[in-house]
Amino acid sequence: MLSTLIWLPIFGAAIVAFLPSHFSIQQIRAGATWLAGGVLLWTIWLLTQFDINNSALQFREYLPWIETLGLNYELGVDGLSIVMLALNSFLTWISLLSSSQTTDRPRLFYSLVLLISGGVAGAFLAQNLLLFFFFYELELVPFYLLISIWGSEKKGYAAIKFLIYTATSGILILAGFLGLVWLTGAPNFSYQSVLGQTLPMGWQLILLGLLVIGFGIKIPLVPFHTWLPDTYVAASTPIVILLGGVLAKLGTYGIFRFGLGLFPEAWSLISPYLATWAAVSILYGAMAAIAQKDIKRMVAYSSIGHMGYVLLGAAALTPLALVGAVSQMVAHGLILAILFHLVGVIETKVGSP
Amino acid sequence: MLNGLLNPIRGLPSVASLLILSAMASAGIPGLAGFIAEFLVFQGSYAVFPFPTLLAVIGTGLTAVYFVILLNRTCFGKLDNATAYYPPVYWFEKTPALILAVLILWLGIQPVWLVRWTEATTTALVAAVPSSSPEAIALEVKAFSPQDF
Repeated sequence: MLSTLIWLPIFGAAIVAFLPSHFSIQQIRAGATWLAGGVLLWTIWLLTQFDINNSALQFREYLPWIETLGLNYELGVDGLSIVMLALNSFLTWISLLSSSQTTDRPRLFYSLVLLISGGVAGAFLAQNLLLFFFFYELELVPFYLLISIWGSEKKGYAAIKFLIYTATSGILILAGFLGLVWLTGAPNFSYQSVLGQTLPMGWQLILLGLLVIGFGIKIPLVPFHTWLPDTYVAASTPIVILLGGVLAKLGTYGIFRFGLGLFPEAWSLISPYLATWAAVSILYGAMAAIAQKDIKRMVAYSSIGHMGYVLLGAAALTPLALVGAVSQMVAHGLILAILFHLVGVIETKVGSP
Repeated sequence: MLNGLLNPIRGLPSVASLLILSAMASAGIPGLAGFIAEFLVFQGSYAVFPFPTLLAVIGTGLTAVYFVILLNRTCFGKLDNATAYYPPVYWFEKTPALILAVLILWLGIQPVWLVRWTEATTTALVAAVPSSSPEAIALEVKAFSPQDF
């Protein structure tokens, strides 16, 4: 059931990439949009089957893969993943709807977008640390291409900056995962086998620090945010919707799942600092937005500020604040998508914003 | 300079009104999706971290400031007569924004649809933290539950 969300878009991407040349741009766009719509319907059906009173993983899937490495194909959803999955399926569909009808190289463009959609779904579903990392890194190159080929001016600079920051984030997260598994001596990289680890507090703080900085680049938190305004301004509208609406959520999801979920003790120890950090991010984002002349940059900085609320909620560690933080992820995704879509429309009609 | 997009005849009135709606949602106006999320975060975090929460509330106020600046620069004011000959906005360009606007409104009015999925999981996450006593959680949940909406 869950695998469909990953592999339907990825197979779709493969088909779209090799469509024969007599298909027009409109047909390719319509095909990709219908496929994304199908994935969205599947997600809605999953939502109807999901038991909201159950906090454990549901619809679990397991396939042994590379057992010597401890890497297995383990999927599952809980209340956190299902919301993120719904956001991903919905915003992928919206971003395809908002794509231009005259996109250059439509086969590559639409197949990369579908590939990203499947990869992000995989990251939200993965219950194995290495599998999560695999899907997390899968987004890197497609996004690099989407920014550097279909972006506006300064797209090359923005794409390289995005690539370097995101690759650094990936390295830090991988270091955190490897350290966790090696130090605990867990038999494999399964989430369940490292859950409830009892490492010394010093190690916990170091590993949690690696993960918080790694995911903090992706969210992004001040001072790791400098890639964001450049990237959001350079990328085309559908790509910004995916970047801000879905990809940034991988960072906050990772903070929840792997930071708070795996290191609850260390998390409650550093939470006062995280709350201050969140407040600094919120204020910085808001003040920097006031100072901007360009509409897109203004909305980009506003996005930095709004992601700070998610960290504040996660740091507070009360059920209400956590529910609020997850709601903020969804609200931020929807609002950022509509803002960037409208700014994009104004830009095409009026010229420079 | 971009100005007066809200002009009903020669501006882009539908796009401009949707932009105003989304700016309001982002600034946290009640009845839209952004408000409920920020409100829940503040309500849940004020008791634990009062000072950072107050700073965040100030940040929300500043959000309203820059969205007023943004709307002032784009939607309001006088249309420039020399340049304001904009091409028509087609339905396919409005559709994504309309769908998003409906969803933002719906989740703002019916936040249960937003919070119901995560409640069980987030409560379990908090319960796994050793320092937070179950009594405190029970007290807070009793005092204010998202189910009240």
